[in-house]
Amino acid sequence: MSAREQILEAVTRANANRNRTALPAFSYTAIQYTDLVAQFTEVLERIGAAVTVVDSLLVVKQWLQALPIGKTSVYIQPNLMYSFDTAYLYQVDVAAMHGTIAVAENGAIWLPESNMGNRMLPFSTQQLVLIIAQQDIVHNMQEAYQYIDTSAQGYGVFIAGPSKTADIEQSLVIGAHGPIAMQVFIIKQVL
Amino acid sequence: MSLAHANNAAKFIANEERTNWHDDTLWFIRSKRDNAAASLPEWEQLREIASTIKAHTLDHLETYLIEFEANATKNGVQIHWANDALEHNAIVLNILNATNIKQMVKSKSMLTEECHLNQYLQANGIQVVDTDLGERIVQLRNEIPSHIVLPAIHLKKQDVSETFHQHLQSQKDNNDPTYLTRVAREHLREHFFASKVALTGVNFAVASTGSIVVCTNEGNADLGVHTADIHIASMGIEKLIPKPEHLSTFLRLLARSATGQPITTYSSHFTKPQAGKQMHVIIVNNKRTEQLAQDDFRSSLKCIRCAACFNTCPVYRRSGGHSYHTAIAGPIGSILSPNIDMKANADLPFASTLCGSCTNVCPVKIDIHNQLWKWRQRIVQEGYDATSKKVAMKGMSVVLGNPKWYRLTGKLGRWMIKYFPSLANNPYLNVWAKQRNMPKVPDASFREWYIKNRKKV
Repeated sequence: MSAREQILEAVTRANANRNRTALPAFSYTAIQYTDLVAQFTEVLERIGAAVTVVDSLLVVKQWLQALPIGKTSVYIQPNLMYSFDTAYLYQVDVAAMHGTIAVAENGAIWLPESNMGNRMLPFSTQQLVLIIAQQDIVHNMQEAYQYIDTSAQGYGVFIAGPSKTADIEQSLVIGAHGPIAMQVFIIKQVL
Repeated sequence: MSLAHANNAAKFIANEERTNWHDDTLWFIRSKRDNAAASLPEWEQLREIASTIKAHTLDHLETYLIEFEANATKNGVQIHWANDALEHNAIVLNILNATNIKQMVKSKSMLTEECHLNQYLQANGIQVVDTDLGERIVQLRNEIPSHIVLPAIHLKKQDVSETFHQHLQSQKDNNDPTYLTRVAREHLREHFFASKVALTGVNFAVASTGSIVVCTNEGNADLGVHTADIHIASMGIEKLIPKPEHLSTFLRLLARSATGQPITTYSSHFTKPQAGKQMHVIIVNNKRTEQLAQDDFRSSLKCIRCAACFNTCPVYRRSGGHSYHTAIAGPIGSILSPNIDMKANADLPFASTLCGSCTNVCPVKIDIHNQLWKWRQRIVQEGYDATSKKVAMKGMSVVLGNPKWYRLTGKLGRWMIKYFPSLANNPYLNVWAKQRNMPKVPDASFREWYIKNRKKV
């Protein structure tokens, strides 16, 4: 008998003649905030990211152009195929890309594979810049999962702040293996 | 039964200053968890729902395992099944051998600790580099993690500095955590870049999509996987959840319970391998089905490995993770480990005060302290309790079962403490006197007092 058959048989045996629990309903209202931008900004700053509200994408592109000479930066156009080689990806200083949903509750931003140029880039870059439209900020994680299709693409990730660790005596160090810094731009809602 | 936990703990607490630091640090994390929990009015409802989703999934596990396998296979993921630790390790080795690759990076996976994968691969000529900072520190020191979320919590920065100086040529006596973290960053980036195989654990496996979710703060899991050509993910059968929408409940609970963060920095959803690359998922049993078959212990499989029960446990905080001599320490480890080897881990369910704090903080509402108590009964029934305990219990049942013996020994005890306090307070003769002074004894027992005073009324 293969391991698969052994395991499935043992599980079936363990579950035989059992009253089976039904899936629960989400019978509560998840937390709501009066000011989504303020809450989202407060959480992100607390976890080590910088947040700037801007009028348009143009301001972000100007910010990228104004980076010190010698810094390697890249702006990733959503839904565009890029081919980078690994060595280049490890040299990028600043990478800017578009998130699709942002969560006020915890500062997380959903980044689908199609918006990151290469799966490695959001992790290998020294500073990650995530751009999000104000109207794409939702209250909580439960709401966020209603807007994203986690399996439509091969990969996707919620990112909340720069990489960090507290593995040495519980001292918080921003910048573990991934980005050392994170900048979030919120593009104001056009009314 | 060995008294391993008690003996190891005695060594741990010999350094009082360090014990107090360990205790305070973990309690601080517990209070951060409390603040994070209080930030959500629906916290208790979330716990209830998470617990019920897990109960439902375990009750239908055969269906969800097959559904997950079918969907993951459709996504181009290769699924492997391993009934025990050795089968798991052999599958990893076979994947490596098929490509002739001799080096692998690994992010945190408690399952691979449980299976002793590193030792197995090293014996077969494979170099394994743990990439979580805490795990890398303990790996360089030839130790095992002492905590499932904070692997190096038993160490001070001086220890880490010394280890890095020895192995990574860092500056001697530079104890700055930021400096030390940067040293590890440079060192590990070289390994990420060079390694063609990356192994990760799995926090959640979604049946309806065939995706796996991995939660980290450091970014090491993703750097490893995305640079490599082959991603291997090892998961226990209990990691399944039905649908992606259920992730919201667990991601809201996990980091808040673990470290008090609102969410981990990265919650990575892996569904398909990149073009031209491979993704393997190994589904491991290793006696989980035995736990599933026992009504008393079944719900321990709901565990999402947040370690909130470690941080709150008065025994864990004051005895350190290594005292538990298993891959998973703390209260949850003490109910999981006896299922893997009851004899070797018979001491662990006794390493608890049964205060119930673990149960109160558990995000999936496992009744941990009840299960500890049930394991104690099982261990005694099977005859695995310590001889000293057996003799003491037999003696006590004679004394407590016979009023004459009870009165006589009571008198003897009071007489001993009164006239030979140095003997009664000698911890070598009386273990109860370890770190305690015996109380002042009354002249008479309550019974004697009652007989004398009843007549006065």
